[in-house]
Amino acid sequence: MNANSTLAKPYSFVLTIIFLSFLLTQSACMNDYKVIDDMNDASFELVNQDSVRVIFPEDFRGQYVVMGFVYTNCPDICPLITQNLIKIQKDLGYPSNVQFLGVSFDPLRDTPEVLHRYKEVFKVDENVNFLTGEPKMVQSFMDSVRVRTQESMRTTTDSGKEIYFLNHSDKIMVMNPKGEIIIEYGGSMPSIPTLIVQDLQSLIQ
Amino acid sequence: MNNQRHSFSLVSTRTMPLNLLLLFVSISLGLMLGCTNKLDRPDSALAEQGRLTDSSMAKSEWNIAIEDAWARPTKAGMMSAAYFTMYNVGSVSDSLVQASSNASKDVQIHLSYMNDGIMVMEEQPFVAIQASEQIPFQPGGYHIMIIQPTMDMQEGDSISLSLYFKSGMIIEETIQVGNPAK
Ligand SMILES: [Cu+2]
Repeated sequence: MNANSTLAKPYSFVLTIIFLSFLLTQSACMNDYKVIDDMNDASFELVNQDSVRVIFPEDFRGQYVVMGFVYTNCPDICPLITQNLIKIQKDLGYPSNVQFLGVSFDPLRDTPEVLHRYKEVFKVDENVNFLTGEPKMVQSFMDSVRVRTQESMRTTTDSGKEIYFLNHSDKIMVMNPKGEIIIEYGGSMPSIPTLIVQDLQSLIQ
Repeated sequence: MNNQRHSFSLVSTRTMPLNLLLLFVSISLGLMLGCTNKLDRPDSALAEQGRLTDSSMAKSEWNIAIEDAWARPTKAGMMSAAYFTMYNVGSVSDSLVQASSNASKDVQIHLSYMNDGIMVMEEQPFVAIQASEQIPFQPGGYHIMIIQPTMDMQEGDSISLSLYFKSGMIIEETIQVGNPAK
């Protein structure tokens, strides 16, 4: 007898079983929506792109909220997150009972006016709000949703401008009507809108 | 001793039946072919692009071009990025070392990547491209960062993009604003 064929069969059988059980547990996890973060422990005073005061999470209680985290000086990853938010809203058919938020983690540069311009550039629907606020307030908000940022090295450009970028978590989250975050996905990946739309449709129906 | 050495070889041809061996050989052949066939575009479509600045270099050797180039719409003073696929259909490797555009004086070569759960964007001193290699510059990866353009960049506009290589070669193109694939 040769060693390869006698070993291969039970081995591949075990591998198949492991793989199938992995798939089963994965799909089981997808449906029970454990609470990732309860946002009710604190309340955050922020402003939207029109300088209108927004209290989070109180103002959104009773509604599902889809929120992405961005900064407008980011031309590469954050536009993907923004476009994913736009796509989720479109694919859900612009629902009136779901709120969409883009929250800036760069309050020093992302003033309401800048966020307003950013919305225009990306032709964002008026029912999507972009939020910013006092730097300390924004920082504690980001801490509570575990969105991490770190300033990249400051450099001086060829024309003498001092610039810096932010390294940051790449996330889109869903908060339920009770103010609990129940879904958290990578924010910029192209597969994300489909996943979130499926999840929300099964939750809202 | 003999046993220990033997354990390093994944497949022993001596003890393997012929059909398994054939399967193994055909899979490895397929993999090899798949790897060498990196370019799926005809050379002719990419020839004539890329301007010679060094006459001592034969054109048949150096042949790097970009295709499907576009820049992200933005407003003056904000941020944009340019994307394309860079093909090296020539026989020599080179490195992209600098970029420029009429849209801004500050244009940099950047890479976005995930590091320990954090999305990082970093300036790159160069991007090397080997012969027969293609490198995508796409959202979430390599991109040409256009910092605070001096003009609004609206869908349908066009801007200039120049790519400078270590060899002295330059690719100069007019690229459109807005993603054609969208
Ligand atoms: Cu960049």
